[in-house]
Amino acid sequence: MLRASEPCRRELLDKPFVLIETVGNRQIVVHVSPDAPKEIYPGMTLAEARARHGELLDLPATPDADLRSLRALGHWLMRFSPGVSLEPPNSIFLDATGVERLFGGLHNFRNKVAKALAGLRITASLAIAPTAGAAWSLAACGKQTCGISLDQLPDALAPLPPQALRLEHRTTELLSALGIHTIGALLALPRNDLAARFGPLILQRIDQALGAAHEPLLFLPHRSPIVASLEFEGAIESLDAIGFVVRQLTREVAEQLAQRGQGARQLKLTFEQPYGPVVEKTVGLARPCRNESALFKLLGCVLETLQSSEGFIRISLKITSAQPLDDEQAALIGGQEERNAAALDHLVERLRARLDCDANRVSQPAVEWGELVESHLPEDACRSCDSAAAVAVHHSTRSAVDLLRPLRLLRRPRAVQVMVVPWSSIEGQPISFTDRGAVHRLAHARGPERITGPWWKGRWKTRDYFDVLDEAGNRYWIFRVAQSGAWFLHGIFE
Amino acid sequence: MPEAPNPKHRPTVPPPSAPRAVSSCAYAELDVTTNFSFLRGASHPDELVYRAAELGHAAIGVTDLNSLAGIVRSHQVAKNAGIKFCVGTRLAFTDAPDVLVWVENRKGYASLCQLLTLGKRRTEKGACTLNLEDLLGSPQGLLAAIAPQRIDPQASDVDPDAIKTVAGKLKDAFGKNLSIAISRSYGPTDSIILRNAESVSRSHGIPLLATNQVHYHDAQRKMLQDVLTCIRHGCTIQEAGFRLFANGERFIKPPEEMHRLFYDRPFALRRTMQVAEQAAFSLDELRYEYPDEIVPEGKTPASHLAELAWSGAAARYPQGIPEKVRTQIAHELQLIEQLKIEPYFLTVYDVVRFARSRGILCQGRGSAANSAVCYCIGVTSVDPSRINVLFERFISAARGEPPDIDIDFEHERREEVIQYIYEKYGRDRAGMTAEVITYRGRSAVRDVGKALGLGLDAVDQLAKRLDGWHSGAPLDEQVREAGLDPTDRTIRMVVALTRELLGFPRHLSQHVGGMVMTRGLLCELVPIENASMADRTVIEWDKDDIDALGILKVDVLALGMLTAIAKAIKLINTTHPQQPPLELHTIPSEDPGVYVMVSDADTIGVFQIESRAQMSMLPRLRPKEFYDLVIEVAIVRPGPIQGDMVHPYLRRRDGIEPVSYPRAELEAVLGKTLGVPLFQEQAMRIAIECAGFTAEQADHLRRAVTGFRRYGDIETFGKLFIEGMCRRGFERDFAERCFAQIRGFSTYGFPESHAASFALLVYASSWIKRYHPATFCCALLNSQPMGFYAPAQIVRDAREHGVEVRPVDINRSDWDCTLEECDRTHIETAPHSSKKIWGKGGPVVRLGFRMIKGLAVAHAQRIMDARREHGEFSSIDDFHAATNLPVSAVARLSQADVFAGLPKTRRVALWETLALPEERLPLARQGNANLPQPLLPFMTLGQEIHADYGTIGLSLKGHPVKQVRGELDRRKVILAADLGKYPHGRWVSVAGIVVIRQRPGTAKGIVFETLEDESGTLNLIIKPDIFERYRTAARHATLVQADGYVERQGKVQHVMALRLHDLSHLLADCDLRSRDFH
Repeated sequence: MLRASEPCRRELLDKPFVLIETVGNRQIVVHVSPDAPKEIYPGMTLAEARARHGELLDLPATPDADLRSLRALGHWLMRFSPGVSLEPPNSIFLDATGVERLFGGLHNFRNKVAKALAGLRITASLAIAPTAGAAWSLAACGKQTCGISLDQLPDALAPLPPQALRLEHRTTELLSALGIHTIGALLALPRNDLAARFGPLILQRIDQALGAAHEPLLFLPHRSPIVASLEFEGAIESLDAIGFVVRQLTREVAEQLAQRGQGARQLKLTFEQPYGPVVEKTVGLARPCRNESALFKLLGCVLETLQSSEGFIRISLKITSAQPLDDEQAALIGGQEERNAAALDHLVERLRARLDCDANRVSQPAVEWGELVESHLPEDACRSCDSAAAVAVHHSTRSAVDLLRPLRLLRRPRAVQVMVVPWSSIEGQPISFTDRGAVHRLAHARGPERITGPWWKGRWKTRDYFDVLDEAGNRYWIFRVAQSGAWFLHGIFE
Repeated sequence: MPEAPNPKHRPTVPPPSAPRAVSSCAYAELDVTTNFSFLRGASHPDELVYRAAELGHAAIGVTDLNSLAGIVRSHQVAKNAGIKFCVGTRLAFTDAPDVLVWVENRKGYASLCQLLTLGKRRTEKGACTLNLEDLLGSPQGLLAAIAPQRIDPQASDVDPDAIKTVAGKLKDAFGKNLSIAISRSYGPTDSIILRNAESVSRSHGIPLLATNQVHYHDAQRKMLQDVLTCIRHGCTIQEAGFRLFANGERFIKPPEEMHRLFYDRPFALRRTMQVAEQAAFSLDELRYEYPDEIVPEGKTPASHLAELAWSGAAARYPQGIPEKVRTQIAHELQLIEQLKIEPYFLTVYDVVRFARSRGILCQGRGSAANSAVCYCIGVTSVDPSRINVLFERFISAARGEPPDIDIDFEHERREEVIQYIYEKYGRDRAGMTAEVITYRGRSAVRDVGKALGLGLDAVDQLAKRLDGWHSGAPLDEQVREAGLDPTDRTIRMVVALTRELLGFPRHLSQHVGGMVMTRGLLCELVPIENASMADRTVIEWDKDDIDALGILKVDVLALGMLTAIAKAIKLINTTHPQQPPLELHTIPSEDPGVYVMVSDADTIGVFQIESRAQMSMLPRLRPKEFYDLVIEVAIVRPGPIQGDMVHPYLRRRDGIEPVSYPRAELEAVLGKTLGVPLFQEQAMRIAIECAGFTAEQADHLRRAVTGFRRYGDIETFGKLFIEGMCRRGFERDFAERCFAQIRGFSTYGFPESHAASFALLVYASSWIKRYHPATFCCALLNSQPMGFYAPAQIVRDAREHGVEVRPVDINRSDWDCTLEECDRTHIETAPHSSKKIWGKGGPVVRLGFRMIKGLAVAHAQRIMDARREHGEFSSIDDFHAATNLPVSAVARLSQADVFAGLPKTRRVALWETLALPEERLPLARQGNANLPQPLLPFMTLGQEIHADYGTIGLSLKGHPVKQVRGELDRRKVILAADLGKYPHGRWVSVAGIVVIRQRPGTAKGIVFETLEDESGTLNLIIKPDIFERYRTAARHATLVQADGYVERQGKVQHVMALRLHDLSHLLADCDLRSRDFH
């Protein structure tokens, strides 16, 4: 059995740190790194801890993420024992029944586990005992025992503090107030009186630790990768045949995904040729999906670019990344907007699969998502991003302004020469501008709209934008830098 | 110790030097948001007003968001600058665009105040919820303008229908007093908004009004305005996006510029002049009227006050009113009549009378003690025949302000007095004064740093380097110390913006006790909002504003010592029923025994003179009469200490230095303090006698120094003062030194009258301590938390004086600590004590249930009730059956060892308690007491003491340090009581529980700690470098060992610590919190 502390983050290894939880407006320390000074302990406020140790780093506690990590570690540990059970927040039980044979004795087993965990840079305390409760007790107290027998247990546990029995905080407090500082002293008390005073859990825990009661452990379910493949007698070449096979494989993985309540985020198709190299095609999805036809449509796009002179003898489809998904529910509650977004996502996925199915080949992706950014400066008001999921929809108040923005913005504003009205009252309205030799005489100019640069980035200059219409009926967006008086063309309305 | 007043960081803006240029272009800026629209406006009202005056605006109208908090300041500055000021507000509605309103006359002002009060009272503190309907009801006397552009740039409202729908309703209500405000702020939607406004203007016949939506006085403040916006939204500047204004055009523009911007709409400019002219209401019209119910039927206030004063005087002086006092009263009454402020005195008299009728102890403090009338009507207790009173310090004819009377009440019963005032005048007529909370160094750098996206770590480091009282922005050196680069652009911006933000109001809070009362409706005078405390309502103005408008304010303050004295007197009267009842003013005066005790610095628990600094001064000063106590109270203050007046005074008192006066006329002023100025009054007198100031000027000087800018600039006064002294033949050097001193102690010094008021309580508490030590201990314990010392030290001190203290007992204790009769002749006293055992054989203190941490009063009450009905409890089960307390409460009791008398030890009691049923039928007995007890481990004495500290904060069984003496001996640590045996300069090791940690603002970062061991206490001095090196031990240790040198001066000794060790682990988890004062 094993008890692991939570994995350390590499950058934190050389500095004491605390994890904090924010309750109201108080930040409370919930976990302290092992090398932090003694006077810092869970339960104090961050301000208090800081006062004691100025260099302290703090990070928000993430119990959910910790639990996920613990689960991941549990799955990983299945390589040592099929029976892995989590004891949150920071313990894992491994069922060591029968593993001696595989690992050459319990000692070897424990050493192997310890070494593997050390390899992951996880500080762990490991103890093996006949009962789960006793193993926890011993590991929690740093007694890394191994090969203890059931009748040795009472003696082994006697010197340990009552906390080692996984009791409620209140119970251990009361025991301490009564002067009961060891399990031995606790066992010496009349058993009948205990439950009346501390509730039924205390007897259960004692019995579980000593083997007098069974402790059922909830083992993690086994998870193998989702994969489907077909092998052929002879190489198949026709696209139809390949399509048929891929459809078959897609159905299989979709079923497996549905069983696990997951959706695919990335799929890998592997085509094996009799003599030539293996061809691999990877497709990513913007959001998890397990709809068979949608997946097949996507994979179908990949097939279009497939090339082979000799055909394939084996095709396999593997889900390389999956996420929990309950899209049946989502489809029930989600409105039109949600469905539209999903449809758009699928379009983009197909475009990507077609245009750059091998993401490594092209440095500039062929399909980009644009994301609006809150910025007064036009060139900063948009940036590209990975997926539609990141695009927030909160621009309703700006819609009126956005109507006044040109559809096309030059990547770099182009210097132009401008003639202005020689009359100071109206801000030097432009009457014509010359762009790359072409003179645009202006029929109409609206403005100025004044935008001050992001001074916090050291950009102090102020621009006066004019929305202008030339006599040919073309509409441009030009600006003057207030500080220098230089003019630039920045956008073209269409 | 936080005793320095809140520094008023207001940037000094010189009044415009040249007489105001009236611009040829007529324009008045009427839409101005000051920094009293918290976290929106980026300039102080005075900056805005001065700038408008300078630029030649015809008028300025301040329109803060749903608030009138900044108008008094603006009004005053405008008067100074000679510019017309229009009172106004920007009203934000839940269901309509903003509306700007300006006040035409007193009636309009009243309805505006009522409107805001309505909006504020119906929601939580600091917010205001208004619907358009609320405004439509009361349009008389108000001018309004629809503001289609909302104040938040985020909600740029360009919906034409929104204006149209409200325009009709507002037009119906306001008629031709309505405008539509338009501005040219170079925004993208300017033209759309303008077009909408014009179409509404045409269709409804509402004139346009030009404004510039001013948010700051200077274009440079755009940055600060952006930062304020970020602070308001709790975001960084990188994230702020459209929450910021796109450009920095919202400053006060010259009228010429406004004319250029609106060249095509001159009528909108003309409209500003019309509105400005019509908004004629001035705050000067607010004629404050005193409440009138305090004068009985058929009397005038003057005759009533005179009657009270003379009859009071007769009662105060049964042997006949001294001539000096008689003249003084006549003089004061005459001045009071001249200023027509009798109702003020009568109001205060009424409050005091109420308190007395309820048996609530109270006493006036501060400058009110300069008044013989206050003494005679019972507001203050300082006999004007015993000290010189300077009535001008209290009331000045020229100031034209009502006097400021602060009254202390028992801290546990002050709320009764406050609620009495609310009840008597009604919530419409009484409210608490606000306190403007302003940015100081630390809070400013924190908020600016966060807004500019500095990591929390860096912000913390930077904020930490700022001393709490250090008012400036971080200097390069401090930035470097924080591990940051002072040349970095962001850091430079943080520093610059922090500097600008200092002194900005952040929010309104409630003043500690200032109550305002009016004759008419208070909510027609100033908006009232809810306080965060239940049952309190607060006005929008702070005490400066109130002063400026001459509004009656009574400071109803809380003083813990009054509670203790009241409780002590009550106990004395019940334990000595045969004697005439004692009262505060019948405590025998000038008792030599009291002065002997005080001179020995045996003053733990005594008012004021119990602090370490006071206690080290007492043996040097050796007070022998009441006036010495007055000096003692005043001398250990930052002012006299910083002004370097303590040592000259002591030398002169000891006869080492001759008493001399720089000038003969000063002898009258400084005679009582041996030629050394110690009191504020003396500073004023020096200014009058030596620098030729008038009494009013001197008073203004005092106020200027304490940060009231409106009375003028300190430097100007300094020049005047020094010139004045030079002209009268003083050396310039001496004059400059005098001024430096005045400057120093005017800020932190006491007025003599105030010191005298406090000295009375010092004497009273000393007398009780000397002659009724058990009562004193009992009363102090029952008034906790208060004072410097924790219950453990108070109890220890009492026991050292021979008082027997008995533990909390289930069959003996009440909620409060009580006195029991002494039934033993032999009492053990602490072995090391050198103190006089005058408590021996007297009453015994029985600790009460209130000592038990976490025990509810209601539960204690249940115990007391059950005991009365049922008699003494014989077992825990019996006790539980009679009280039916929750098991957790019984467990708490058993851990506090209150069943020891049954007898049940802690652990046995707890064991039995845990078996109690949570719910039981009445009178059902469990009977499990007969079962064999399990063998629970016995507790050692050390464990018992730990447990005592953990549950009641002290132990009567022994001293925790004694339990670790073995280890301390090994470390060669001496007893505190033996320190006196070591000569000055000897290296020693001492150790003890840290009782008090103190870092006085005057001591340049030196920390004083008081350690206590089983033999007594001693004082440590820790210099800043040592403090930093042994930070944990110095700041957090409960048990500390210090190695250092003995320093001794006369009877005063301490250890200059050079090394500190944290020995807290020896005490395990014992709860011995020190009281930290920083």
